[in-house]
Amino acid sequence: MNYGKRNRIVFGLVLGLFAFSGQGLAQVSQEQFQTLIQKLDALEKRMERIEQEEAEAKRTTEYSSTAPIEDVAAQIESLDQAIRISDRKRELDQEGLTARTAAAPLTTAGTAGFSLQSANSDYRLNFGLVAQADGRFTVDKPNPIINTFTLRKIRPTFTGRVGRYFDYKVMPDFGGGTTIIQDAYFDLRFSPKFRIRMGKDKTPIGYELLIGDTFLLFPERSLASSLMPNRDIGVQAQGDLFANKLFYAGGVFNGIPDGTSLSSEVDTNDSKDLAGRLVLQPFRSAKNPSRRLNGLGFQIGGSSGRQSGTLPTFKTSVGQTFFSYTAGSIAGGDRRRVSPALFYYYKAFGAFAEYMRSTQSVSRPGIATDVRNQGWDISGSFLLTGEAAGERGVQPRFNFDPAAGRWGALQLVGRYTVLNVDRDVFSLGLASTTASRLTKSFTVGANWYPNSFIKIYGTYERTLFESQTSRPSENVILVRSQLAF
Amino acid sequence: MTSFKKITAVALLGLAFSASAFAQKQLLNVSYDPTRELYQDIGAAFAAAWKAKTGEAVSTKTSHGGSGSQARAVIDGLQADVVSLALAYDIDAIAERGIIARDWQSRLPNNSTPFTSTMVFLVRKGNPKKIKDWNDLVRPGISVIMPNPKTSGGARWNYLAAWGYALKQNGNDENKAKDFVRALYKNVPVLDSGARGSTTTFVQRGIGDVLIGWENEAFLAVNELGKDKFDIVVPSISILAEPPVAVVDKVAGRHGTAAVAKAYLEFLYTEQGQEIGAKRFYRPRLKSIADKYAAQFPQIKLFTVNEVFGGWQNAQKKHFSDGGMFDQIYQPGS
Repeated sequence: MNYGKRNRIVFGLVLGLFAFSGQGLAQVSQEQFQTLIQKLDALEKRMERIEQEEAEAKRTTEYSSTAPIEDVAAQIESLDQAIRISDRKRELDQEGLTARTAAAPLTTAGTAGFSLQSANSDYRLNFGLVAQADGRFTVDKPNPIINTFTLRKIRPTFTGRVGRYFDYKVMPDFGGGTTIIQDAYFDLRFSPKFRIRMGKDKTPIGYELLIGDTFLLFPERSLASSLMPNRDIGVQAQGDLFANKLFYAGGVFNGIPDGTSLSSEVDTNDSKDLAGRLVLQPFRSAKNPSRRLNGLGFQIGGSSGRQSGTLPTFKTSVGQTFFSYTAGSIAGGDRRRVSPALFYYYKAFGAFAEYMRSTQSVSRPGIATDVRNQGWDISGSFLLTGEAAGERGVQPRFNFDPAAGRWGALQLVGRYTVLNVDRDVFSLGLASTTASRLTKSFTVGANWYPNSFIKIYGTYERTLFESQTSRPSENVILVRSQLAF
Repeated sequence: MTSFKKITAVALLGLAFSASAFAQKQLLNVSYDPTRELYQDIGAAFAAAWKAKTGEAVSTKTSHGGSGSQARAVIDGLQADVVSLALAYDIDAIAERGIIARDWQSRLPNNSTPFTSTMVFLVRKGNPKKIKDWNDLVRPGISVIMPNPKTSGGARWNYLAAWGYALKQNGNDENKAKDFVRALYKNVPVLDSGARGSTTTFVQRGIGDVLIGWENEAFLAVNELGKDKFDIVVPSISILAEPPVAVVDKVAGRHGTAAVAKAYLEFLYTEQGQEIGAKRFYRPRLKSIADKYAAQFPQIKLFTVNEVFGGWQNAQKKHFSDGGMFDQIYQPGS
């Protein structure tokens, strides 16, 4: 309420009193007078309250209108700066976090396996495992083998890199009731075109033998691969040339008998084997991998050296020995191996064929001759579920998920393989009495890949022997469950 | 040797020579934070000059960051053919690892520092906080922007400039200098890792009342980011900053770029190189260019690291090493 309004109220009261007095005080009763006094008191209190409210409103108005604008602006500026500083600190923290994250070691666990890796990739440790549980059953009577389940391979695998240019692999094997070091080597990488590998690894000769153990079409390799050396210790150079169209590997090794791996970790003689292979894939194209001839390749491998001492024995897939030299026979002199191969992979189809020949000087008291053993095999596969075939296994299009009606990949496989021992071995009495001169094996089967880590093999294998003792054929069923990552 | 073999050998040799003749050399210059524009211009000019002189094509790539961080990167394997860092101590740190010859500083004129600079203040247009000298920076309520001396060479120059000012104001009283610098850092709300980051904080993020930084960076902010937004304030005294350069001998030797790397650094001392520097507001060493551009550089009383701190090794050890004076003065989050 303003002053004008209040004055009007007071003026009205005064006029009212005068009018009241004009009517005659004598006519006013005591009761009426008291009522008027009360009304005046009420009006007075009301005016006081109104005046207080007006004074309060005035103080507020005066404060609002006279507060320094500079102070308010400074407060706003201060608040704005505080917000900006907070935002910038958060921005810098984020930058720092990004930088720290980029520099932090990486730990991965997933479809690519398990690994630890420095931020710059110069240091890595990948952990892998190969576990194979087999079932071997004969359908022959009487049983030539004991039907059994067995742990074929238990191989924890450690691969990685140290110091940017050095790769390594260490792979022990606890399968078959023994513990041995299968692979133990490191690579010095100069470039993809040239690296030096030192240590224990597969000898670079045979095509099938150099396919990774977990990627094989069959639980065991062919008879012909018995003529190739397996793992040996040495130094080799490797590289990929011409846009990966040509791979080469070659080096010097201790030298081991056919079909064996070095188990003693030291050589038994001073002679060394030279071994190497060339793999040519002339139509290989990273840009257009689906071309019809992309997966066509040729390889030639071989070795040469002088070896003495132990001679090999040859066994079937279930470990039955079908050839051995007579007691007292030893290797003594030159040993040469050669193995050409042809392979082809296109869409779901894959096949390879290879020939192997191993020539070794063999002697026993009074007899010495060069023994030339030969073998070959042809293998084929077809993925019924349409995945791409290859040397590096199968990646199912759909992983096993029965609830979703998905079953993984299914592959049919077949193989025919022959191992032909030199006739002179028999004519000169260098073979044991139960030895087979010509051994042929036919294998068919199916492989199921529930996902890229699990593989179930199921095969039937029939092996025929030509021996002096009319050895009966061997008919076996091999089942393998394999975990590999 | 048969004729065929001779022809083949000559052909192969010819091929090898042709390949090397047509191969383009490339230099990597690992530099401190605010030199992007300078070395972009220098690289283009040097490539043209080198091509004209030798017929050989050369290109330069640059890498920028806090000077200390850049030195660490080179020590850790960054394949720099040359380094151009904010201060000699950082190149010394690389030389201590045997990657650069220990006598690097004597291989080029002026202790291998082709340009000089100094530290000045950049303030908001009109200088609303009326900042005129170092003592204004420690006033309560003044917000100062500068990078972290632990990672930035420019920040170390800032720190030493402030310390030198305080010493001279207080009769070389170290304790008073320490209190002064402590008060200064109390007014710093954000410590960036490099000089360019601080410029971003001040110019683009609009934080702070004053940026202490390289003179060339201040000119860049004014001329290229807004003449109507900033003013440069030249303090009464500052430090003579001498950012050095050096060939990274081991890397350049391995790359086969030692000769071109040396020529690249020598180019910085030529009239053309000095003028490019002056245009980017680096103070030229060459008198003819310095005279030509004298008007653009304000007169300022400068002291050197050697005069006040006894050289970079001493300054580094006393002020910036772990547990040193800066660590005593500045606590993150305080």
